[in-house]
Amino acid sequence: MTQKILRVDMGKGTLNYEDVPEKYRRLGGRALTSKMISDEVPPNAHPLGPNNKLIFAPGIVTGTGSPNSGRISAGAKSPLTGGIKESNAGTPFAKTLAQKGIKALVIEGKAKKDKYYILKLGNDGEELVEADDYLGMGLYKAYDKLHEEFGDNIEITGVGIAGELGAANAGISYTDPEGMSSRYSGRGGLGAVMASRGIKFIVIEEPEEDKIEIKDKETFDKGRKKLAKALSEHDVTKKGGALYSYGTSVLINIINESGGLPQRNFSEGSDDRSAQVSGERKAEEIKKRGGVRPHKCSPSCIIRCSEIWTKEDGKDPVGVLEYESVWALGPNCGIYDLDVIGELNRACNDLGMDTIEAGNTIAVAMEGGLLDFGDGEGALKLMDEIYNKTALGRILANGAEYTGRAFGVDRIPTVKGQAMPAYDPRPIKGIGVTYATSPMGADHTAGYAIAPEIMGVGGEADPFDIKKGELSKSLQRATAAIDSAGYCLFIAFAILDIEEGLEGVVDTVNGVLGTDYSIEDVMNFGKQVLETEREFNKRAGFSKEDDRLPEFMIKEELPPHNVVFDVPDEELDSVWED
Amino acid sequence: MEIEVVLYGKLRERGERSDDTTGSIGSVKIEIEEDSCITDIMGLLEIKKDEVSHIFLNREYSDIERKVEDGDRLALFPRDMALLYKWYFTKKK
Repeated sequence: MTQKILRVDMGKGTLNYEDVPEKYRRLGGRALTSKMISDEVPPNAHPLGPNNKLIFAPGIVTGTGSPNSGRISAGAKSPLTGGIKESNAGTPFAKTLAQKGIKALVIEGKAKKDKYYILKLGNDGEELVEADDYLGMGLYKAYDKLHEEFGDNIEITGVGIAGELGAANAGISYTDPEGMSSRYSGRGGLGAVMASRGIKFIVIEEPEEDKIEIKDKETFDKGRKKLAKALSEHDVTKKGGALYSYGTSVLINIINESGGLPQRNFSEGSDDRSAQVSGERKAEEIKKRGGVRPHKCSPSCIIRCSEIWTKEDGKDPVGVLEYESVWALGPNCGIYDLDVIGELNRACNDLGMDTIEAGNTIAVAMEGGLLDFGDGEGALKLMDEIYNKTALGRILANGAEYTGRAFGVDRIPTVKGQAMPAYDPRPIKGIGVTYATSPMGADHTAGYAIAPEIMGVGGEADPFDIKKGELSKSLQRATAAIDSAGYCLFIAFAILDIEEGLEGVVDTVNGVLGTDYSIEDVMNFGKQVLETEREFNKRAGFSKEDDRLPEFMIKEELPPHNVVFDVPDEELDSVWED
Repeated sequence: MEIEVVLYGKLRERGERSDDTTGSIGSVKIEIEEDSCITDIMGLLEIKKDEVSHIFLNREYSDIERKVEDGDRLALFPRDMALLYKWYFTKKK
């Protein structure tokens, strides 16, 4: 087998390639990171301490050229939740790591305090290079400098100032196809895990030889074509469809109309001004300014939901402004100005922070009286506090729950310490079940119950129906399987509707691995991933009492539908029953 | 009987385009007869069934045959904002 595990011990300063043990050979992406974390990290390890590990793993099909396969999983024990974390990203870094033959990159141990290194994975060998010149530098500039230092033929992953602070909202940034810091394993503070090992950047050179093995090329090709056909025919994923035309922000107006777009720290579910930051509005502006829309986040993508947002004069590109980011930094803070949101998003990408957590943090700070809702200029000044590493900046960089405590706020929209994304769980109850029960904390991608509830993809569901355990369970399993295969979650729109597409996914996985898995086997695979994660969390001290939404969402009615989250605890717990 | 129709995306051209405070949304107030349903209103605006994806009546995800009442808010999303492609999900009837 040409694929290896690369283990980098920052305490010892050693780099070793290891054979892939039998038990890991048929795993990839999230299945592999979660299994390895579960096997190798003690559940009581401090997330920033010497016993935590950060593991990068491309999915099973990543780098093969199958459509939308440019995904990577990063896994560790999370400084934000205290539980296991897998944070998934679409980036050219993913395929480059896979083609280099690295099935998993394990970063363990800790370098000497305040020493940071660049891990260079070059075609002529691997080395650790001192990163002192890059400390305190924003990531846009740092990535430019790294390209100057190491050439254009590289992909980068890195941590920013938030990581240097050891902050629980530090994400891991990756290069987009333009080489900018705009793709993220944002959630769960994994950037702090990376920084606390003493790794500032990983620079990987495009390999001269593609080391991905496809065991059964015929089955793989058959599957690849089936999936491509499904994606190019389905209304959501096809050229000219919603994701292609408007990106994920198409949801701003839809979810706002449904009464489920949280405004001003989850105090209302709709505001007419949300239209000013809608996907349609943004697409018009990008066209006018000369940005890019549609855009691929990684080379194999055929959905193209990404984009490049710029300043008004068409200069200073930020990268994509995702639905979740626009909402978190916008309506959730009472901010309805795309330029302000764009600059806040730029600051997050530059500091190395997750936008969802950052937006919730600002909103909670607004609730706590630090600044007024709608104060965009004030919100940008808060980002300066983090750049300047002030005491306030350190509080803010630790996320919504930490900031809420610092300012005496009793309405903090978090589960297991992680802030909620852009769907209020009171009118959209299925997503609430996923927020409550996912081993990841409040996470929309973990079981995208929005799909059947609002969009009408993949079966039937009524947003207000409280029997959502079964729905969330099957979606969480499907998601875990997709995250492990290395596909973009958005293929789910097409494969849940078009059976041939689902067959294509299974065929490509079988083609790469030389296996004979059925659709049922793959779903069961997702179930096992979740069980591994839940088991780790149990050992780390979590119980079903942690699978609950914050009290204010159970007591406080959300306008305009004036509903509370009333899914019974037993229904939440049913997610973990067979 | 008067209702408000909110038109998203490309459908906004069928109503009066709103001013800049609501951005890229069109909205129109129309007089309708009693017992009208959503399809009747779409007919008045010359919007065909296959041009529309999501329908919300008073912010509830709605079936196309649903009856409307005085003062209702009807929102229509065009096909290219579709995150669905069949009329097969549960809607309020």
